[in-house]
Amino acid sequence: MAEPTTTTAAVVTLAAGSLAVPALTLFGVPLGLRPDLLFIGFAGSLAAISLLNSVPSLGDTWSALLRTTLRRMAVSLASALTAGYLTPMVLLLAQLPDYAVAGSAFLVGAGAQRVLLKYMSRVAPPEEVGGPSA
Amino acid sequence: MIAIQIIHWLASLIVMAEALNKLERCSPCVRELTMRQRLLEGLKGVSWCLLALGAGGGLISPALLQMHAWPDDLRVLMRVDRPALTEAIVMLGVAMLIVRTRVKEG
Repeated sequence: MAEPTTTTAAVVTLAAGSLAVPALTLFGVPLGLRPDLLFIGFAGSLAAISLLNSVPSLGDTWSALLRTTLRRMAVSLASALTAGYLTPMVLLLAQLPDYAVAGSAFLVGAGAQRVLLKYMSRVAPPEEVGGPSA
Repeated sequence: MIAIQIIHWLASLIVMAEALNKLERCSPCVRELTMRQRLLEGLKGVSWCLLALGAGGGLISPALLQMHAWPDDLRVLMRVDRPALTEAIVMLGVAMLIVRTRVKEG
């Protein structure tokens, strides 16, 4: 009887798939990032900014506008990077087929900000300020 | 980096900044909107989304070239070696319209 989940086969498939698209390198160091996943993750972050208002405005002044813009750019970049790095892992963990790559990257990019915060708070809960209450 | 690349990158930066600001103000899912208003908001959101995607490609392309993303591999997605004159002109035109609107609004 075959095993319900073949992790080794999934890893081999993922490795072969990742070899098909050239990964980016920086100073000769392979970053493991694929430009297409970065692009789709960026699109997901734009959808989150538009529909979910993931980065609310800080005010109406020019300085607030500038700070909000910089913050949105940083969030978009971080979401794209998160999609670039986490999408292969999501595909592997959820046992998704290859044609779900784009959708997964979009969802990871859209939810990167909140999902990462929730996951990080679960793994490492924030310490209470002033210690535990009596 | 040649002049056309610098112009394209700066224009992309302006378009990206404005698109991110406009995207937040698009709210096609608000309940009180009529069908026509919802359609208008949706079209506005899609338009700024498309502009942001194009500007994002223009912003990141010099970095991708430094990361050894070969132009032939990304030919369908974007042009990373240098923008064509027509691409730079379109981006510059949109950026100038944005600057004009901001100056008009004060």
